[in-house]
Amino acid sequence: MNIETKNIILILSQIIGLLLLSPMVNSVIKKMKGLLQGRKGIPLFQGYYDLTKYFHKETVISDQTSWIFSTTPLIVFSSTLTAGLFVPMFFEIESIGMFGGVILFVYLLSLGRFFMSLAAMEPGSGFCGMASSREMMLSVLIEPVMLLSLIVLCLLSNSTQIPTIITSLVKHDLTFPSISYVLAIFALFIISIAEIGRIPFDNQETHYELTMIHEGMLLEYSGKLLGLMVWANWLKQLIIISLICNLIFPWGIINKFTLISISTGLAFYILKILIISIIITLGETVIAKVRLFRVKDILVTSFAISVLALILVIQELGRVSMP
Amino acid sequence: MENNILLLEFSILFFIIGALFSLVLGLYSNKLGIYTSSIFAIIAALFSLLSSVNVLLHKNSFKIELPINIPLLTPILSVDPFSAFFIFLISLISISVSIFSIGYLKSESTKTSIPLLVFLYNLFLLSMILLVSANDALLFLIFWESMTLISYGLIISNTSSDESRSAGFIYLLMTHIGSAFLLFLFLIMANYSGSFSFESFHGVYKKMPDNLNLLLFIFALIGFGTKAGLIPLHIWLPEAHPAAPSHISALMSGVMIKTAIYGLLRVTFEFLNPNSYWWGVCLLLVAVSTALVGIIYASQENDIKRLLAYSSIENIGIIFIPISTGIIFYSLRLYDLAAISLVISLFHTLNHSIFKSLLFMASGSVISTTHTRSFSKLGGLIKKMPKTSLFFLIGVLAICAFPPLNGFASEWLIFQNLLALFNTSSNVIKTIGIISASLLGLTGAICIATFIKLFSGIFMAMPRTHLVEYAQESSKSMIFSLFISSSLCLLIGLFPLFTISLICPAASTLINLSQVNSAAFSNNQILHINNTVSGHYSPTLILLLLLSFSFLGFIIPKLVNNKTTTRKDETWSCGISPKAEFEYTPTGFIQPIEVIFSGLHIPKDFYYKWIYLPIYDVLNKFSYKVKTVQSGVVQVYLTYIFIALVISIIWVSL
Repeated sequence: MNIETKNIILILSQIIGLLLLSPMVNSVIKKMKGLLQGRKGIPLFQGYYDLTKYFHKETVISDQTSWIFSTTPLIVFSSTLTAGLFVPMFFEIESIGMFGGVILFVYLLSLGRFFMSLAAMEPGSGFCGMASSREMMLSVLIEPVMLLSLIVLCLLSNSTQIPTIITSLVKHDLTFPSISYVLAIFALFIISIAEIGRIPFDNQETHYELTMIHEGMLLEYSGKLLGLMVWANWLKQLIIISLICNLIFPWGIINKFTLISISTGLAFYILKILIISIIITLGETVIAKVRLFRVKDILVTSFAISVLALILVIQELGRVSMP
Repeated sequence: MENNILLLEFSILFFIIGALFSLVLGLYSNKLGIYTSSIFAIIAALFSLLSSVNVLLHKNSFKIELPINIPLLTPILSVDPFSAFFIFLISLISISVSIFSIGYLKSESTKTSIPLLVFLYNLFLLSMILLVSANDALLFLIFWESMTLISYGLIISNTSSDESRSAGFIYLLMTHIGSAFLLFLFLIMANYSGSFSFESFHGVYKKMPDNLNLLLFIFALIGFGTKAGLIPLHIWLPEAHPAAPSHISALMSGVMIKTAIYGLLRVTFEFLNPNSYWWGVCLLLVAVSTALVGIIYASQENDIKRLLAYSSIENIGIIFIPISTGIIFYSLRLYDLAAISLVISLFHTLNHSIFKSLLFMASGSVISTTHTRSFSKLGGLIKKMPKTSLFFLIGVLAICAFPPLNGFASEWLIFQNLLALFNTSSNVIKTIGIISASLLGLTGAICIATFIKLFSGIFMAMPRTHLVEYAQESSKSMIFSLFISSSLCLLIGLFPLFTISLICPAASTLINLSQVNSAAFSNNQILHINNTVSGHYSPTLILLLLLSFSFLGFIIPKLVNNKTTTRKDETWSCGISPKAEFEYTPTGFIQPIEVIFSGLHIPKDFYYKWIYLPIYDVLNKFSYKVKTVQSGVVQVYLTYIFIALVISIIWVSL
């Protein structure tokens, strides 16, 4: 098998894997949350039921809208999925670094967010507009910190490609003795929670118009379009979770494909996702959603943490290169 | 080479003929004047475009001796690849703006005096082309001044409004402060080099003391920074750009402020010697704060053109980021990296010219059909102007730096450039470089919010006032020029390496220690800078992925169920039928961001109160002191002359 076909197969399996796994991960988090709150929780396959339900429903769209509103779900879906290619699940796609790196990753996510916020302004509903405005406020806070913490990791591993960052964390043993790594990961973790719109930043379960952010932007969507938007959001959640779990536990990314390595890699990946999901669930159960303008404090704190990580990484690398 | 000379001469000739003919014909009939001016400008710009592309492709240069004879002045135009790049940029933008102006001016003819406008328009383009090819400091200053005065004439051509008159005054004042610094700069250099020609200025720093080298850099920064709109020298920009007719704003924002980049780069890298990396670090701080403060101001604007003007300030900041890294690398003798930085900054200059002129033109179409610049009064125009809104959206996507458009290509390179600062050995540079990258990300995020506010305010939801009712799609020539500019955004975004290969000779003209070529930017035809924290970006593949995944998103729901229907109904507004008053206003949209950054917000009168008024006060007091000497009595003046005579005789005899 030559390298081209191998890469195409890997890319395809990454796409299929992301598409199939993302509804499940969301349901798992919901199920665990239900259990923790003393309820039975939803069935594990609820995500798939929901998607098929959306795809069967009639689509009603606002008469104020134009082509932007109805193509936005496609753009959000495709940009999220494209961003997903840059984050490895449990195997490395070798040539993916030739397409782009962390900066492209951040900007692709932001492309989806741009269209979502823009389309939310289109029906002329006050709730959508409010949600869109708040989403923009969050994104203004998220994007610089996300870039900074990812760049610190890039500098640590001397690469801007996420798969290479992960593998070189293992190869050069850069993880736990390094304080800058811990700080950068910590900042990235906080930012990731904000990026996937979970408590304490946004509450995905709420349907109270005045508090919701992400849900608010979807208020005027229905049927197929809503299905795609929801799916894209789950995809983003899985991608971000894969990113942090692979950065926190950078072991077990495989690049040789035998039956054993694939199965252990997959098992390890599922375990990692579960750990992160449990942390998220615990957080969602224990912590309350903060007031909108207090969100700034948390995110500015994580900016400060990543600046600290940057200064430390400069110190550390300086010591290595100049004896 | 002969051809290039001929082409440029033809272009100059056509601009002059165009100006004169359109003035004469414009007096006879407005329509005729508009057509003559635009057609001559297009032909002339095509000639100069060809000539400049020729120079850039073959990396040669040529000289033209002007048939004028003025003492002290060597009237020679010299086009080297660096000048040629700017001629390329000016001609490219002026082609699409000229096409736009045909349709635009017809609808504006009641407000402005057309003959004057079309006459000055051609001269304005000509003065910019001559400016970037002048090979003599005095000639440069003459063209600089004529560019300023002609654009002043264009700003105040909106005869009906007081606003444009006061804006014109501030513009004139500020740019003359800038010109004064440039005059000092060139006089001091000429004093050391013995001549005003640019060739004698090459390496003139070797004859100067070190401190003077730095002082002249600061002079150049103030002089050119005023024109470019670096904060705090930007105050004229948000006044002057909105006051001018829209196609002129497109030229001013897209091209004119870029001539300052030309001047600054030439003076800094060819005549002076950036010998300390502190120059670069300080400039980097200025650049990043210009970008950030500029976009925060832009986010709070409710006037389409003022918003775009502030966003030009932001982009000037972004263009200055790689210039400052270039200075840092140059001072550390990393000449290849310095040349790469300059290429990146020129690339962003080109990109900004294209999408900013696109946005100014598209907003010109909106303003000329709705007669308001305040976009909180608009809304729902996407249904009345579907084509304009599409091209406007492309401009917005480009300026927000989304892949795969041209804005992202250059912004991605700027990020890589800042990461390359990690190759230096100084911890200060490393820290500031990486934090700048993160602040650039912040700027980008606010830029996205700002342009969602702008686009949704103009085009989306329900019309907020009756101004929208009579809006019409703009005329064919306007749409066509928007189409040209937006396809350039897409093409340059998809094939950045071709454009970069045109820019590389320009950068290596400035830094002749490095022969940078497009190979430094590619790895198997994929955008990549060698010698940095490695990264690749392939726009075509990204577009391919985006398109195929969109298709996937389209086909999956179809596969699940092919029979669903789509219906249109009114927006849900808690059971009442929706009204425009229920919509989120642009001001409300940006309010959370305004609250967050209230700490960073500098009030707009800060610059007047704390910078310009104190200077004015000092000057004023000084003038009052001087006034006592000027008694107005003839006998006293005769005494002065006598004293001066005596002193000079004594001085000569010593």
